[in-house]
Amino acid sequence: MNMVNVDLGDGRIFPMEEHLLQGPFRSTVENERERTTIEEYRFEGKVVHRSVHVTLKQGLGVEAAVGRMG
Amino acid sequence: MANTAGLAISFKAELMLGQHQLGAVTLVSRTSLTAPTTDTVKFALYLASATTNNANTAYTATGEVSGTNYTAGGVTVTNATAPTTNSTSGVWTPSASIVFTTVTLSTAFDAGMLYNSTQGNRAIGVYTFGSQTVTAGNFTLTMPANTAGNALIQLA
Repeated sequence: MNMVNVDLGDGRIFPMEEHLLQGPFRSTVENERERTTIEEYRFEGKVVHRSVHVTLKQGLGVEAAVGRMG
Repeated sequence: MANTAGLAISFKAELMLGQHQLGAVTLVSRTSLTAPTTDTVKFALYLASATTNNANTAYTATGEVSGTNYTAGGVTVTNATAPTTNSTSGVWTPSASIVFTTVTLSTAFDAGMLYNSTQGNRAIGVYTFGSQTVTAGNFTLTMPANTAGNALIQLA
């Protein structure tokens, strides 16, 4: 049987049998900077598991330059 | 107020001072000419309500997330790939995803700071993303391609 880590709201994380939960509910959001996939499970209507996977498309950059001599 | 992405201003000068050694060791180190070491790079998460930006010269606990299984200071970044060139740019990207495993982070966060924990926690850059919360799950940041225009750090 599959187990899913859950937090019922008290900050304590423990595994729960997947068939007792609703889900998984998956959604994806994408823009020019990132692609984000979210997976949720609910118990009695409340989100008790939420994993987030962000794929970055671009980092940070600076333009190096040389100064002028003379 | 909000977090703002940007390479740390201090990092730009520190590069020329040789204060960061990213990736697999290819050059002799500052600490030893015979047994060079790679700096340890870490990544910490910041609340959406924080004001972390490129003016931060070092890691700060101010505005950092807290929650179950999250350790202050964040996680160590896999730093196995040496900086290289691609097209006309210098590029560096961690060789693996940054993963916070089985955490509960109930207050929204939208930024992370990359910093050099070996060199006095000197800041490298602040990265922003869509605001998130995590419940008893993983937060995974998969790295962009290590190419010009995409790499996590680029000197064009």
